[in-house]
Amino acid sequence: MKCPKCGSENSQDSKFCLSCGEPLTRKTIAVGVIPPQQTEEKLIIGKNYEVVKKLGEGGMGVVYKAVHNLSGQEVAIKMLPPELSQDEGIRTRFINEARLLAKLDHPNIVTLYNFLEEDQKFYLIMQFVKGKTLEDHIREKGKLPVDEAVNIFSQVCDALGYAHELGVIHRDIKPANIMITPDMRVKVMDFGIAKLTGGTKLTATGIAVGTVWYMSPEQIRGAELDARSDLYALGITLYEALTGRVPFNSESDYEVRKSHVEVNPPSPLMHDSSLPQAAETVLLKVLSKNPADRYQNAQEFKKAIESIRTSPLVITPEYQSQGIPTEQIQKKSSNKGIVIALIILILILCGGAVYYFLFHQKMLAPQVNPLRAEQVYIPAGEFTMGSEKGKDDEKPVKKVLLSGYYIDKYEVTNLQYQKCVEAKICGAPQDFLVNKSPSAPVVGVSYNDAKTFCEWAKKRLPTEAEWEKAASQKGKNTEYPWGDEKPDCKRANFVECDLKLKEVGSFVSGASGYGVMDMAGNVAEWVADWYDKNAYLTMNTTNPKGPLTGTYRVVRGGSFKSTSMDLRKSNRMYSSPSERLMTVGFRCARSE
Amino acid sequence: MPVSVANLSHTGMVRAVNEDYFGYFRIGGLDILIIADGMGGHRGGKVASKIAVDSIREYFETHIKENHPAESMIDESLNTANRMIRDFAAADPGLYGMGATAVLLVIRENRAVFRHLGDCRLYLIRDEKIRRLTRDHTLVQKLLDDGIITLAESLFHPERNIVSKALGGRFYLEFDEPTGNLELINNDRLLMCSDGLFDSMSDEEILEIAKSGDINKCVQALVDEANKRGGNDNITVQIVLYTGDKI
Repeated sequence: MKCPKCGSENSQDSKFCLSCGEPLTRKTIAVGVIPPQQTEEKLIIGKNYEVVKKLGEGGMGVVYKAVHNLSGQEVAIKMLPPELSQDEGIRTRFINEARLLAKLDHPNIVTLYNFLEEDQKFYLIMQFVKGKTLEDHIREKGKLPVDEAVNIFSQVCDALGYAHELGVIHRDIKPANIMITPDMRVKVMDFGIAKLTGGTKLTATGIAVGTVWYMSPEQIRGAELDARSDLYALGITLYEALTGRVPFNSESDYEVRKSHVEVNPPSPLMHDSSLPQAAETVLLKVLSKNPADRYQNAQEFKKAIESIRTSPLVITPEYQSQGIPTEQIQKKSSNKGIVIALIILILILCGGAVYYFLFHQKMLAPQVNPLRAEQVYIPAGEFTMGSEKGKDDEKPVKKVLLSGYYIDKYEVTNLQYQKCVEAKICGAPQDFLVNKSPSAPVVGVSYNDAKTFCEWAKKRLPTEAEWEKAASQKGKNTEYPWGDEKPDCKRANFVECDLKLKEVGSFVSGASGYGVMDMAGNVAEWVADWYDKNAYLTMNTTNPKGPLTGTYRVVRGGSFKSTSMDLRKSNRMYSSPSERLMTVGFRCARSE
Repeated sequence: MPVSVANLSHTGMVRAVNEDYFGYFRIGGLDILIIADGMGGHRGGKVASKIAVDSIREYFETHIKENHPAESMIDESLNTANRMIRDFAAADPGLYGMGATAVLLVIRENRAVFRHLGDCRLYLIRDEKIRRLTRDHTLVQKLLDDGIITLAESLFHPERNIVSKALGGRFYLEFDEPTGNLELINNDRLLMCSDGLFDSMSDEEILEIAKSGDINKCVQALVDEANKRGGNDNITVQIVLYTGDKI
């Protein structure tokens, strides 16, 4: 299977790309989190539909691509989760709702051809649409040029206006439910599906990522929904398309919900001051808390969206196609240009300029060069990995031999990471409400982000063994980086302290025997290895690199939310490589 | 015995499988009671609740020590269960995303120590009054606490199904502090249940049925009543009767 991100070939049953960690099962129809594909025999649904492949799977059920064996028509078939069809109440509601959905017939709506019940399972037979979701489209482009967004969103308004007149509310408008065909036509999918499948118990963490970003205030309160709730969700989607970010994002889904109800959205011009003024007016109106203050129907909203295009402030298409740099960066670079020009001028005036200029450059370089993060050399030699007193996955304890290597003395900071973002190599970290000081460690970065950064900095992530050795006392197997004394708030930032993220290097007395800082607490850290709880049983004891494959990557070191148990230097945690957590950052290493 | 226990679990009238699982164990002088309500996926829910109960029992069997505080054993056992569920889910695609809400109660002599995650509840019935000892970790409870919705809105909120804490979710379990702790007096009744019970009955209605009489009959009557009201979900109840020094 070819990785959609980096293009490397992986075996057919790989869940994640071995080169870059990208999940491999994501397909054009996005239905939340997609677990690994299972191979299955030829599957026939409803006598005539021959399943070609599975397109996706999530809380809303499985989606297949299928072909009608007589007409040859391609369809997408959505199978509802079987446990839902066994629930009598949900069953009745499903049939009533599906009858309504089958009436929708519009060029901008993915048509529901039919629904059927077979072996106690429900299937929705839908039009198969070639193309990609708006979610993928925004992700690829960062944000959309104004005119392109206007084209897309006025088509979505047509679809919504039509459905609303028939009394059908979508209830789950978001970029993942808007398909764009190669000729830029829009097809809205999953009308009313949210209503069909609600009701089973979920963890807040089990809800598809980003679902709450598009919820209207009345939806959060559990009130009756009408057309204006869909318009609110479409407003959030438009906001995201134009600025590359949703107006409300936070460390927790709950805070996002609260913001929808209580906080006014920041002006889109704050994110991109080159947007036309009309964009602000339109977005702030459609995002009103009270439905009565919004556009009252899709036609009205469409008219308003089109006013953004006709605005005299619209930027030229040539400019848009380059991907719009933000005003801030533009300013910075032009300032820099002026400063450099001034320096040169002054130096030339002073005479002996060239020599001095070179010298001056040398002096300045280390401060701005993010690659010059301070590193500590860990000499070659043996150390003890794991702990008898620890959890099962820390055993058996092994003597491990490592070659010499360098490891960052501190975790990568916001400032350092920002350089990589500005270089357009790294993606922006997920925005959490934590200390964002330039010298605080960056968080909200996935394993993949961390790996990208280290490679950009001509380094790599440390292996699990390298991390643990750097966190230890030389030649002694202690519980914590500083020794065996129990953690306190002078040595480490953990759950018993003030629950705030601290700048790197704030805990000098918590240094490891090698002088590496912040190895316990503050933020946990991604390391290179795949996680396997039995990894130590079979591991190579010379320069081990961990299992060849896996589902999770190892996370080490505990965070400001960890208990003292998790601060132990041998403690192992793990998370999905694509997960961006408030409590996890990273540091880099390099071989001798 | 200073403690007697009655328990019952029922699939209800609508669901096809019972994803609840409960346990009552006497290990080394401790009475340990747990209810886990599984969730997620095709068969995941059923598996997760069983792993939760089994791994907690196993934890107590192997880690119990005379002078070890019950609080730390509760936390560690829940952490073990959390990890176990995550490990199973990581190894089997069919179990992807499974989890369980749970309530765990440990009684040592006259002291009850407890924790919960999600919407399994623990009630105290004393002097013919009922008191909720746990506050649901649910979205709706939080919205209610923060004044975003009213009590009336909370009762019919379409997202009553969303819990904010559960076993098998994140790699950190975040507990409410401090651990629930209660000194028992004679004839106290502790009632633990899954949401299938209290979703169809008010606290006062539960009290009416559970406050007196044979506890075995009480659990049966509670389950019967929930089923009579539709039995929309699995129903599990355990009642502990504390009789102090009377042997």
